[in-house]
Amino acid sequence: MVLEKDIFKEFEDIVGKGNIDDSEVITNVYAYNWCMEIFNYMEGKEPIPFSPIPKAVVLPSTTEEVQKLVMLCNKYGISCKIQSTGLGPWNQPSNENCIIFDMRRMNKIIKIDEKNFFAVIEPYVSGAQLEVEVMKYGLLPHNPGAGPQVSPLASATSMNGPGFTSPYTGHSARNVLGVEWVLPDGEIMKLGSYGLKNNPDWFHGDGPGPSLRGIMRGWAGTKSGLGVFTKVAVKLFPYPCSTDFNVKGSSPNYDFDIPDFMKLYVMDCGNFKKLENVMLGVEEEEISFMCSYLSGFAVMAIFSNSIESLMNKIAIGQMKAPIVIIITARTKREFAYKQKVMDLILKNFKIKNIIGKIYTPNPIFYAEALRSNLGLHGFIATGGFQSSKGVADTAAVCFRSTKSNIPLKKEFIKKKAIVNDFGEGTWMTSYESGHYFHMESPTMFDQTEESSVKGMAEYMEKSNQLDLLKHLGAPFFVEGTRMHELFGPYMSNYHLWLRKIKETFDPNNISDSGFYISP
Amino acid sequence: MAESNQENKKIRGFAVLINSILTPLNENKRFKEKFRNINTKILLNASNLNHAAIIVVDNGLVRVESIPNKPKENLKKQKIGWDAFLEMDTQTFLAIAMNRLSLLGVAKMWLTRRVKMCGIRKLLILLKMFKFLTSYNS
Repeated sequence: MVLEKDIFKEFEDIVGKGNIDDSEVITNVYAYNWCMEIFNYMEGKEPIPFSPIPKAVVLPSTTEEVQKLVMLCNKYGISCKIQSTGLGPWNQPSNENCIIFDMRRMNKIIKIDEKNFFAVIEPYVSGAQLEVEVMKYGLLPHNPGAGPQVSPLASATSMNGPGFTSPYTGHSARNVLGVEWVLPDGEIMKLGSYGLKNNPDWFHGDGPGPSLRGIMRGWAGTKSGLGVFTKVAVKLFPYPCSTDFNVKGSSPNYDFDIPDFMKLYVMDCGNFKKLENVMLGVEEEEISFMCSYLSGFAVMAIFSNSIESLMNKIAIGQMKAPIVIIITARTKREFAYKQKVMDLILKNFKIKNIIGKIYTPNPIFYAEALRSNLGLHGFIATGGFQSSKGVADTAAVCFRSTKSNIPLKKEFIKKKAIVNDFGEGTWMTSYESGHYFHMESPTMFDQTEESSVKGMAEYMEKSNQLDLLKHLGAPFFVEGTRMHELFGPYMSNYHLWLRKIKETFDPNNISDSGFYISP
Repeated sequence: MAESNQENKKIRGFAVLINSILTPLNENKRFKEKFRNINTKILLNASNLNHAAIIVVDNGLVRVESIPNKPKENLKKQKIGWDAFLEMDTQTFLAIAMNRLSLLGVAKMWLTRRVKMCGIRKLLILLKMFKFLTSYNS
């Protein structure tokens, strides 16, 4: 289903020759994405890793071009799906009457305000790219758990964005400041202080007047269901330690000089109750750069680059309730203080740090931790990995969710649908020094095996139902009409309001609503 | 336990897994001291895979070899000269190694023939070896 020739020409006139393609090869390639097979199956479709094939792919390079493209979509009743760095099914069209906007030409860091700790970026700037540039000023951006290869703009405006450094850098919704937003009708909206009549700048995300941040992204983002974000200002944080990176060797076994004031702690708390107390205890002191609960299997994985190296860490996997903490400092005195606090916590809770005693990780682990690059290790065992859950709440709710998920996961392990992590596969992190917490259940499966894909999808469905039944909060994959209509009635009928927002902002239903809500 | 990227090319399948798990013991001084007078050969067969692992404890050093587990004659005591024999699927093995299955659980599986074993006294050596993997005093 390609574009008619004259319509194609109109799109081409906006972006220029070579920046639009509706050929079979290109459009088919764009129809593929990681984990599409699960979401297809959950929607009652064939479990294949392909979405509907888009009519064409366009590559705009400016906000004005995006605006014109959106207007053209309105004119011809064609929906649009926006991809920044393009990881996952959220980037995929939900119908064949759709054009993909691939934002890769909008790849500039517009501004770094080192004095006021923010940077303004375009959609295709990756976290790694931004981090390298702001490090020169001793600053750090928030990178989501997906890794530094993804777009901070997409995460800040349209996704969830918990990350391994969340105790220090929060999550994506908390890091978004001024926004430039092309609405579904083509109007350009400037949010926050960027919208000021006099001296507009990007330093604030709200006002003047009522904040539209809730409409723009709410808790989990609209996943391109409500216009196109062309620029965003994101918060920056003081780099937690020295920025002198010395990296040698080649991928994946780089060598790295661990910064002077950086220390890793991995401890077994033995049970969840104690783990909760330790986590709250550490976060109460506001000293951690990273503070995560990971299952024994996941702790093995974050230190591994292959199945072989995963398996020689069985000793680590014996831990029943491990906690992974990193402390960092910029001065010797600060470091000494943080270590002293950690020593006291270890003594009070009678727990031991295994690092340097039974296990010494490769130094590259520290670089990966600084760059929030630990999530990729979830792919090692089978190549296929996805998370269920995704609640943000108190530590107690997160642990309740963790515990209740174990028997459910075991059910699917028994069916040999998912990998045997003893049902414990969970990642939990604190947000902003323990003010609240995030938990999700990373689960490994075999993408090449239909029964495994189906099993994984069924497990995710049951996990969602469990969250409703046991009041465990909203998982972060409540997206798309079916899921909103399932959860809405249990949550103040929010789905009715969401639909009203969609209808008001997008009267022609131009922005693909596959991962948002249909009008 | 230090990282190593060396691959043992002589061994295959299940034995690679066992080798990865047990090799760190060769860097454990306490293990070497405690096992310096122990010489034993334990055969571990993963019922769902094609190669069995032979664990050789040789005066404080651990070595793992592999052998195809079909035909069954390959695993005979007379052929290999093992002192103890243990057979189960890989999931059960990992559950034991990662301390997620108790001795009682293993006994239950033994009664239902999901775990087969021979030379129980020598198999206790294997359990002791696993304990060393989490030793804090290496």
